[in-house]
Amino acid sequence: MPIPPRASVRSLVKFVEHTGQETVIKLENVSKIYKGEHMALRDATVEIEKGEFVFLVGPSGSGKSTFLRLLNREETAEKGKIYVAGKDIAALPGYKVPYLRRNIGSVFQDFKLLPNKTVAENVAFALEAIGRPKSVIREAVPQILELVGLGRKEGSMPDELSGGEQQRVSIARAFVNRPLILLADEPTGNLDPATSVGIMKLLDRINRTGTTVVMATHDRGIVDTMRRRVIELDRGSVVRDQARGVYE
Amino acid sequence: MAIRLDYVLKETGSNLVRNLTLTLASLLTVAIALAFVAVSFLIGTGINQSFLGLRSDVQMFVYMNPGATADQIDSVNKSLESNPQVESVKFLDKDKTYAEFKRLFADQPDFVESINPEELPQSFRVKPTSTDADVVSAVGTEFENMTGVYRVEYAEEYARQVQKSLSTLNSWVRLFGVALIFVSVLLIFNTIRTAVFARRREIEVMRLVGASNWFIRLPFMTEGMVQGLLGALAAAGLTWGFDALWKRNFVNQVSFELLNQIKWTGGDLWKAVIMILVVGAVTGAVGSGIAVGRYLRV
Repeated sequence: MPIPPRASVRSLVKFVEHTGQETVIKLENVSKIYKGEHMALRDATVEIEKGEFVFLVGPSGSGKSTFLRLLNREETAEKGKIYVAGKDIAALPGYKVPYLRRNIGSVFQDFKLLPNKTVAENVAFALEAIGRPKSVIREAVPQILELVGLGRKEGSMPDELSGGEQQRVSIARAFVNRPLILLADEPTGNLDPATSVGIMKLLDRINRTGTTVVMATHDRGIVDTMRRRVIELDRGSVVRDQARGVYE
Repeated sequence: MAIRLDYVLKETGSNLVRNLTLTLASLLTVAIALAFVAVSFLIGTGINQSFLGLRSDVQMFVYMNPGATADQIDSVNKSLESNPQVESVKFLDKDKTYAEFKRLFADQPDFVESINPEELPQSFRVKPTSTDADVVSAVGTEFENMTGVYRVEYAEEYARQVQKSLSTLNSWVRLFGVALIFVSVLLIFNTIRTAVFARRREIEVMRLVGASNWFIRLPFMTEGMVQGLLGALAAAGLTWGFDALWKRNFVNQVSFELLNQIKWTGGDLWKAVIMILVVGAVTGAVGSGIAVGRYLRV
C-alpha cells in the first residue's frame, strides 16, 4: 500500500489505523554511487512494514551497509526516494537529521562502545546526548540493562566484558530510547555461534515489542534458523526478496 | 531542545581532567605565545608613547627678539596659525622658557644663575604638517623675515633619522605581535584538534544516537574556551612579571639611554591582559567549534 509522500506522522497514524499496516521504510528506485563510478546500490525498491524483521544478505560489497547507512542519512542517495516513517528523508534539513536518528537505533559489528565509560554510562550517554532529563535516565538505564541481561554488570567497563556482553550493551544503548527501527550491521560478525544465538534471541525479543529490525548479515545459520524476510543484494541490486526466506 | 548546563559542565570538566597532560602542554604553549603577544604590545605601546612626543615634536623653533612687542608676537602667532603647512603651534612665554631653561641645565646651577630670565628669547614651537625637511625649511623661511623674529631653527637631521628608525622599529614590533597572535590561534586550534581527534568515536556515537550538532559542539567549545582562558591567565601572569622586571631594570635607569624611554602605563598593561584573555577565550571556543565541525558533516 503506497504512502502519500511527506505524509505527516499524524496522517500516517490515521492511515495505519485505517489499514492496520504501516510502511516504516520505503525505498523507491534508490541508487547510491560512490566517487562517481562505483554503484553501491542500484535502483533498489523495497518496502518494509512496521514490526517486520528483515535480513539483508549478500556477499561483501553487495551494498548491505550502504542500504543501512542510507536509512539514517549517514549517506544520501544520488537517485530515488527514501521514506522513513512516511518522511522523505532527503528533504530533511540538516538540523532535523538528529531527530530522524532518534527514531533509529544502530548496532554494529564492532559495538562502538566508549571504552572510558561504564556499561551504565555508555547506555546513559545515548539519553544524555539527546537531552533527556536525569530522572528519566535513572529509571530507563537499569531497566534496559535488565532487559538485555546485564543487570549486574552496570558498573563494569567495556573491556571487562565478553564480546557477547559488549554487544548487549550496544543493543541496550540502541534500544533505550525505544526507537521505531533498529538497524544492525553484522551484529554477530565478531561473535561465536553460541553467543550469536543469544544476541539473536535478544533482537527477536526487541522485534516483538513492535520495533522494526533490519539486520545485515553473513551468518547463514542464523538466517536459516529464524526464517524471516530475506532481501538479497548482489553488486547493489536487489536480487531476491522473500518472506520467511533462507540464506540462499 | 534545551541543552542541560550540568551536562555541558560535567563533560567539559571531565575532558579537561582526563587529558591532563595534553591540557597542560597546550596551556603552556598557549600561555607563552600569548605572553609574547602581550609583551610585544607593551613594547610597541612604550616605543610609541615615548617617542610619540619626539616624533610629533617641534620640528621648527621661531625665536622672537627679546624685546619683541606683544603686537609682533601676536601677528607672528596669527600667521603661523593660519599657515596651511603648520599643524600646531605652541608659544613659550618668558616664564615657561625660563622654567625649561632651568630644567635643561639643572646640572649647571652656576650657569643658570648667570642668566637673566628677561634676556631669554620667547619662542614658538612649530609642528609642520609634514616632517619632510624641504617642507619644514620652506615654512621656516616665510617667518624668518617677519618683524620681531630673531631667527628660525630647525630640528636636526639626525633627530629626524632617529625618529624614522624608531617608527620603523615600532612597526616591526607590531607586526611581530600580530604574527604571534596568529601563532597562538594556530596553537590553540591545533591542540583542540588533537583533543577532538582523540574523541572522534564519542562524537560518532553521539551522532548515531541523534544528538544535535550544537549539543555535540558545546562541551568542546566550553572546553576550548576554558583552555584558552587558562592559557591567557598564565600569560597574563608572565606579562605582569615582565612588566615588573622591566620597570625595575630599565625605566628611569640613566644607564639605559634608549630602553629607559620605553615605558607604559598600568592602563596599557590592563589593555594587553584583556586583549590576550579575549584572544584566548574566543579562539579556544571558535577553534573547537571548527575542529568538531569536521566530524559533524551530515
